[in-house]
Amino acid sequence: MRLLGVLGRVEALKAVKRPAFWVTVGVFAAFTTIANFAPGGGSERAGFPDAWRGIIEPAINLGPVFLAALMILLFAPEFRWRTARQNVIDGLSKEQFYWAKVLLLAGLAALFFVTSLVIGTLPFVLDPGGGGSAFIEPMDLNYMLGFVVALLLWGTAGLMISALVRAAGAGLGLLFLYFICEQIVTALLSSRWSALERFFDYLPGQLFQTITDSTLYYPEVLARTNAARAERGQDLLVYPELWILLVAAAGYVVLFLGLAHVNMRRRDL
Amino acid sequence: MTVIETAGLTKRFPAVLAVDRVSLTVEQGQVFGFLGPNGSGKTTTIGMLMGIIKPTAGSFRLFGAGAPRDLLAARARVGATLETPNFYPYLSGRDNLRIAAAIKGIGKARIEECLDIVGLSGRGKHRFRTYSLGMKQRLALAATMLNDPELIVLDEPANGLDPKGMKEVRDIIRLLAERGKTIFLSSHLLWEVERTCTHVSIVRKGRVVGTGTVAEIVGGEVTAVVRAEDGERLRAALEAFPEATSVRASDEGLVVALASDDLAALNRYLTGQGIYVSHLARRHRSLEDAFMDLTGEDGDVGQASLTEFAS
Repeated sequence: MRLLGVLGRVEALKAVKRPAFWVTVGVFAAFTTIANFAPGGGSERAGFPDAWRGIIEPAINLGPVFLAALMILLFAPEFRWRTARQNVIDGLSKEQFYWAKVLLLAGLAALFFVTSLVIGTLPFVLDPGGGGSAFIEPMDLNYMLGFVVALLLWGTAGLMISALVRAAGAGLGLLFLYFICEQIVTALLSSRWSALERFFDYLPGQLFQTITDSTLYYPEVLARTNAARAERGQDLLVYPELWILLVAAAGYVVLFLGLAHVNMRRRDL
Repeated sequence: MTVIETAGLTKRFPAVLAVDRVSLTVEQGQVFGFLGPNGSGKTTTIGMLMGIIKPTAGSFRLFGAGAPRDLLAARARVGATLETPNFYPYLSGRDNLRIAAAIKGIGKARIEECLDIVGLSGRGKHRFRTYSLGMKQRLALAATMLNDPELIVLDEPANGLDPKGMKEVRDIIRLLAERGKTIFLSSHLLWEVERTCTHVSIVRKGRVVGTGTVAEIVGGEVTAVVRAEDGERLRAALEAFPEATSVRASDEGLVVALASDDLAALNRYLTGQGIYVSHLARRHRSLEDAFMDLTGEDGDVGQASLTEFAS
């Protein structure tokens, strides 16, 4: 426990004194605020539980991306500055240094999650009124769980890329390039071999898009969307069970953490 | 008590054998100089001791500990800095020490004490990136002293410093040595090592080519500096002189190591060869001479820095 406290204190000091931390969190908070107060945002809803979807929707798309970028900005430069090396010389094992970064990721994910909820619920705290019988419905909780998994999916991707690439610029480039390339490649291959589509649905980028889509969690939204698609002659949206998608995403989280761990253990600093 | 002990320590990178079966022993209280030209494997060796580089073969012990878990505890008794000072550029000097202190489990009072020892109390609140190179080196020394370590490992602590900065660093090292600390000092500044260290090991291309006390390394050989009008003929004659063990060029003239100290015999020999010397003087053999002989290096040991430092 003492070690966890030390690692947490050290990572917190490194993060809060870094301008990039405040810029990234600040821009995320600003975007979330704008999205919440925009027409159709959470603040326009009568009250809870209806408001939850509008509160989470903007954050679930932006938060994971900002988290991954921030993770890379905070972690990767430790190799260029050779402070990762110095932390180990000062007394951490390479293993402990790795767990310090996992702790940082958990802290940042919690920060993004809480920030989203605080900004989203602020209008209702300031002006309570209206609302249904329950404060929160099971599908809202599922959507929040999806948000957490999406944060961890991108966050661990950022952590892994930092450990592998060891440079912030190249890391950010690789992160975004991967998701762009995944979309292009899957679109090209799917057009020729439609059987591959089911496989592509479980690639990290596609999986992220699915678990952050509100139609996965809210049946009435899915029904409305499918009705609109049917009118346009498009294929209807059909999802696998929610738990299958979340387990698949959690699998990627474990895989990314594992790859980063193996890399940190094996490579010299 | 043996503080550092390595046996056949080896590190092979894909393209190069950086450290080749290095075996060293550093006893408590020694000021141990680890010498070698740039790229001879000094930093890699220290990196292995500090746990940031995995050895390809061989083993080492710190304070008698060899197992990974024991080594982690043993490293708590070490203060070290590798190559350039490694700090967070956006943090102040004091905040950088706070991070090192938190990892080492040291309180705030010690941070101020160490800043004071290295003369950075007044600049502790300024960002590391605003520091001069000398200040950065001094902050690195402060960081190594935080846990009042029994062993201090310094890798090129005077690198890039001006003469004043070098003197400051040298004074701090002396202060630490006087306090009974064991110091492992990697450097290519031979004059500095000769003045500071009690023991030395010399490495070349990853291999230890000489080790012992400074006196043992410098050895009892007589060296002489010789100058004549025709340098080429002089060199050829000296290389043919039966008593000469080595000949090399220096700024002063040709430096010849002799098996005996009979300079008159050398003078007679040269005269017999038709060479009349303009300068012939016995010279104290320095660590630099020994280093040159052992490594076969000539001019790859930071001569500019050496001259600057000596002045």
